[in-house]
This record gives sequence, structure tokens and C-alpha cells, in this order.
Amino acid sequence: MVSLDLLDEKRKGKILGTWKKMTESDKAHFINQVALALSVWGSDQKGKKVVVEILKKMSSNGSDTLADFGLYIEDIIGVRGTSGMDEQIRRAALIIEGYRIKHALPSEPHKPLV
Amino acid sequence: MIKNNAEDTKLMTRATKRRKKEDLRITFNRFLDEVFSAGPSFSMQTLDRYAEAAIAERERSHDDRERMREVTPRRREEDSELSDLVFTRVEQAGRASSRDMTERGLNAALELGEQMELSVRDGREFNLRQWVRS
Repeated sequence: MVSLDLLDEKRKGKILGTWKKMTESDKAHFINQVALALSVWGSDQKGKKVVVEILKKMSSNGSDTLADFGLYIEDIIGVRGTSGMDEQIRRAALIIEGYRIKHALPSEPHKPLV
Repeated sequence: MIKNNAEDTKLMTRATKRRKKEDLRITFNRFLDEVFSAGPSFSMQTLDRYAEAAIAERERSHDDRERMREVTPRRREEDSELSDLVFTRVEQAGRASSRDMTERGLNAALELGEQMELSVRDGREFNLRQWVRS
């Protein structure tokens, strides 16, 4: 059983805070992108762990919305726990890129102006 | 007595922190469960359609970049002819009477515009150097 408890309290709090502030439509886009990713690399514990790894990346990169999920997928290639999944990760990134195009989602992450 | 109170406060703070940490863990796990279970299941055709859209967009962007690269940069001689036209001839014209310069400048600009338009219409390449020399 792969544990999904990978994040510290600060990150968990940040992700939950971001989620609460998101619009319903952004929440739906995030959920859809996660579902697309899981349908490519599998929805077992390992596949879910990869999703949590992406959330970890997003929480340290300052993205304002979890709807940017698809833009961070390829960043986890090479991260511990994703070995042997490079092709699946690239395929998921491509599919979600298509999803984002079809739904006119931006190709750059939302970040607060410094 | 005071020592005991301080100990109690310390223990309570620790317990509160532990409880908060546990609450956060539970809330976060609920959030993950919600996300993992709420997503729809996508058919293979849908996945392929999205992949095709992304590939088409990547190809389109690549073609655009190629087209930009193919735009022939102006030749060095043309650049010098152009700078001669702008910095020397116009300056010389500026020393002539203003009325004369305006009229000649306007005529030249009109002629240049016409020639460029003609070459575009005929599908010819417009040669600035040749035009300046003529």
C-alpha cells in the first residue's frame, strides 16, 4: 500500500486554501484533469501518489489555482516514485494539453503578480 | 503549584497542535477522496481526440515558427540603401525649401506605396534597393 501522506502541514493547508478559493468551473477542470491523468497512468495507489506529487510541485510553485494541474504534469518526470512512468506521464500531459485547448484554458500557470 | 500549571499549559498546547495536525490530515484526505472519486471516466476515443487536438496545435505552432523563420531578412546592401535614403537624402531635402521637400517626399512615398502594392498584387518580390536606385 503506497501512502498518500506525502505533504507537510503547510502544503496541505495551502492546497486546501487554494481549493476553497477556486470557482466551481475551475474545480471541475481540476477534477477532470486528474481523472484524465489517472485514466492514462492508472488509478491505483501509485497513480494517486503521482497526483499528490504534482500537487506538491504546484504548492511550491505559487500557482493560484489547481486548474493549472495539467501544466505541471511533465515536471514530475524523474521524481522519486515515478520511475518507469515517463511515457505514461508524457501521454497524459499531451491528452490534458488537448483538453485545455478544447476548453480554452491558458497555457501558462496563474501566478500572483509580485 | 505554578510549575504544575505551566506543565498543564504545555501539555494542552501540545495536544491542541496534535489535534490540529490530525484534523488537517483528515480534511486533506477527504479532499483527495473527493477529487479521486468525483472525476468522470473518459472513453479511449475522448482521450485520443484530446491527444489529436494537442498534436494539431503543436504542429500549427511549429509551422508558424517556421514561417516566421522563412521570412527573408533584408539584405545588408538594402539596409544601407535605406539608411542612405532616410538619413542622407531626407536630410538633404530638409535643407531645401520646406514646400519642395514636402511635395517631393509625398510623391516618393506615394510611389513607393504604389510599387509595393503592385508587387504584392502581382506576386512579385519587392526590391527596395532597386527601387531606391531607380
